[in-house]
Amino acid sequence: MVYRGHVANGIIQLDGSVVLPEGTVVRVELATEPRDEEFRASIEDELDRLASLPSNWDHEGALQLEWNFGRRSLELEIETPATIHYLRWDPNEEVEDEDVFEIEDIPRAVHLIQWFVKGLVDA
Amino acid sequence: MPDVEMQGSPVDPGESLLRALDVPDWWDLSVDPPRARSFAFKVNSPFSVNVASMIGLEGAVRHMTEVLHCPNGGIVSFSCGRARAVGYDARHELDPQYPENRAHANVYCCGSSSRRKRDAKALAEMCATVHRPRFGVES
Repeated sequence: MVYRGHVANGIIQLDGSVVLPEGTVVRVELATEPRDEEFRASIEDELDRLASLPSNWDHEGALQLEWNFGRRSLELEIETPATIHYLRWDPNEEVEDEDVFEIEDIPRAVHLIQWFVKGLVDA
Repeated sequence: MPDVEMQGSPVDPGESLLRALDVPDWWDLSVDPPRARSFAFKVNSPFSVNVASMIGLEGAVRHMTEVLHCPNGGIVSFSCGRARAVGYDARHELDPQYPENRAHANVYCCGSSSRRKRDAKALAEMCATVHRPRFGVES
């Protein structure tokens, strides 16, 4: 059985009205990894920064989201209003993958970001 | 990219090339080499370098600081021959804005647009920082 809860003042409190019998042995597993939160916060900061840019801010018309961890890199460049040009790069895994996909293909973007995050978690 | 006949002569593959990087976002000072985006231009857009044997590092720093007015920029060095092997062809061509600089060369990306990011990454990885940038440093 899995119950959700949160930490308050250093004590784990179960959500809702769940009460476990005294002496119950439990196993605690983090619902979110600290690095996930850090990664998410960095993305939100970056999106806020991008949203504040004026129109045609660099006269080149391309935006790129980029993450680096050691030699592992992920680049998502909005090459045209309809396409994203990406680079997955990790010499340690012999990954040098570059391609273009439709900007509405959100699952593909998520898959790429998950690949990058997996490298952080495994490190 | 201009016609081959319009291009300058090829830079000798044994030369080292110096590239001034004066955009803060092109650097991540926690890692070396610089970010690949500093080389990932469109295929038909060359970027500027100076031939090291003609200008020297001190001259390149002086050019960046006093002529280009970018005192906080950094400079990286890479091999002309190794760059050509990954699709970057350096040609002796003057910069029309600063024709007195005889060491100037243009580097053309000869690969296809479908692999320009890989080529840029490969070039960035072969760069060595020879003059660290000073962005955020009080002068």
